[in-house]
Amino acid sequence: MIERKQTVFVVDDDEAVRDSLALLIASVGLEAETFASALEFLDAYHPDRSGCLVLDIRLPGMSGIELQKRLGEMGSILPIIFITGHGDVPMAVKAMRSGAVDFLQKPFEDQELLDRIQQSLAMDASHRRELVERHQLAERFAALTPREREVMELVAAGLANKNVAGRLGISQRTVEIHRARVMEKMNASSLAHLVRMVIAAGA
Amino acid sequence: MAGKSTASRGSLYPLRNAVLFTGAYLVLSFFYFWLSGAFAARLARSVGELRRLELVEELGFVVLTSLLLFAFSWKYLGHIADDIAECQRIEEHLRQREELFELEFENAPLAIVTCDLKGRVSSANRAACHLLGFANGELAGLRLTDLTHPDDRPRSLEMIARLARGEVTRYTEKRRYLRRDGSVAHGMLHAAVVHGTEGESRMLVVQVEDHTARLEAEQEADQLRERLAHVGRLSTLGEMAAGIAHEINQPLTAITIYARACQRMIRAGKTAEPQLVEALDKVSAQAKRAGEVIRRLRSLIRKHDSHRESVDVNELVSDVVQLAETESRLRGVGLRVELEEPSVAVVADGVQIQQVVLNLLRNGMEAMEGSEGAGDLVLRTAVRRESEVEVAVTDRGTGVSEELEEQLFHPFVTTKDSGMGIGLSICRSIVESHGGKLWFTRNLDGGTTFRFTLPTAIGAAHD
Repeated sequence: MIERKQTVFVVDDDEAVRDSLALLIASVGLEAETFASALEFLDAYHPDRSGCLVLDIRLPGMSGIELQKRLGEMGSILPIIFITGHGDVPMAVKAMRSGAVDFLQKPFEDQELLDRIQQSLAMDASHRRELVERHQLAERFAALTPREREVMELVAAGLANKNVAGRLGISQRTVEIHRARVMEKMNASSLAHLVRMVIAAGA
Repeated sequence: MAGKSTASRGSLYPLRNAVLFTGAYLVLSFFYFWLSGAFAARLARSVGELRRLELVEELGFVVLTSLLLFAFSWKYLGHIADDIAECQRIEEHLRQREELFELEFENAPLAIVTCDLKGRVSSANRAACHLLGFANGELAGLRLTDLTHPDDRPRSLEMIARLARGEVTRYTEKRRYLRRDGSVAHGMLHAAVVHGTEGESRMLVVQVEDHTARLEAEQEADQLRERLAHVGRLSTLGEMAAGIAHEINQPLTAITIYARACQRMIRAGKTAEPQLVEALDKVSAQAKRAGEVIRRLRSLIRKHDSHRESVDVNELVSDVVQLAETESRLRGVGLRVELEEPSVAVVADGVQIQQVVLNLLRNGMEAMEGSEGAGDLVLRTAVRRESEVEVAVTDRGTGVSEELEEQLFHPFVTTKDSGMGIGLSICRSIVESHGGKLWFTRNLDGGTTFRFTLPTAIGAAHD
């Protein structure tokens, strides 16, 4: 799932603006998909698709702000860059408060938009990577037996095998076996790696 | 004797009597003298030969004839005196009538000119002189055609010739004249030919109603309306500035982005020529689009001389709808347009009609703003009859309250925070000046419909 193709989704009711944005995005080798309305985008939306959303703040029917809200409710993590016309600053501020990456006022510099897009794509990628890792971590944790989990937590807390054995009332040999199973199941390359994973899971 | 025959024979009657009388008198007096002569000769020849009785007979004859002659003379002299008195009475009567006629002719409010069959003025009344800017009496001898406005001259010549030839006996039409000072007089002309006793054309009588003042007043009213309409348009467009800026900004944004994308593709050296050409085509299309917005805007802003021409209703309406669409988006009001096909032409001042449509659309949007999901604002055109087309704007707004209804079309009445409140009153005056009507009805399912009608080009031609 990691590092899949990323798409820049463009939602603007003005055909020319939409089309020109698609051309600009394509000119730097990125994939673009365009939509004329918020509903059209929602129809095509899939949470697994990585990328970012370039969204006109004023749209007929469902507005850009409403689409942002709807996506939030659906648990979307897609970064949103708003495009605004004249006099839409208050709306843009509201959008930013709701978690938009940025807003650009028309007419804007192409470089500025492309920079924002690149940032957003990187952000989305790392966000998704993180999500995947967290998901994998959860799976690995779930694979551990209760005893193994106890051993792991104590090891990660910095206790030596001997102390772990004493604390749990089992032999040191048994602790070593459990520890090796934990390292294997958690796919940990070192003790430090395991500690990081335990901290991440606990966070 | 009846007054009419007295008048017509009055001048001849006493003369004939006088001739008759004189003739009879000459004949009778010839006989008298001849008889008296014969009698005297006989008397002188044979005084003694005659018997007394014969003398008495002959004397008696002379006395009798003298008496007869006297009585005859007395009777006919009386007749002649009567006839002379009658004649004088008739002459006086005629003189009075002529004076009265002259007074009436001179002082008639209508300009009256008589002229010969070639259109040369033989007499003109005061109103005619006034209409044409001449002093009394100066018109006589001038040609009517020379006094006519150059544009109307050919028509004037043609109609005078037709009158003279007897093809028409009378006609009425609009005519412009040139005053002596060069200004233009507008009139309604009534011309007729006068026939002689033999039925031949004798002269022309031309009457002209002076419409100059009325036309000038109408023109002044038109100018005033045009000025007011212009102010109204400016104020409307001022209120629409944000939307219009957006409408121009869109293509400019697209142009900028297209251009930048092209630059990038060229610089990266990874572009095919067709792709670039296509992008450049799009750039020019967008430049044209921005230009279109400005063209529409300029025609509305420009202070123009009101002129009417044949224009397609649907085209007229579509043009202004595009200006209104941006605003409808900004206000979050759906706009639906239903144009009846085929469209018809109206003879109108296009800009003013667009102003009316724009005003009605904006009023509708304002009424609907904030009432989400109520439906669309609908603009319809419909040909009602061959002679009439209707434009209707139906909103799903808050409606018109009873108390506002009465004042709705009054100037400076407004329910809005911005605006002067002259919109609807200007609209109505514009529509009425085009020969149409503007009114509103409440929809059964809420909201209001404003409609106006215009005579179609066909309908206007029939008027």
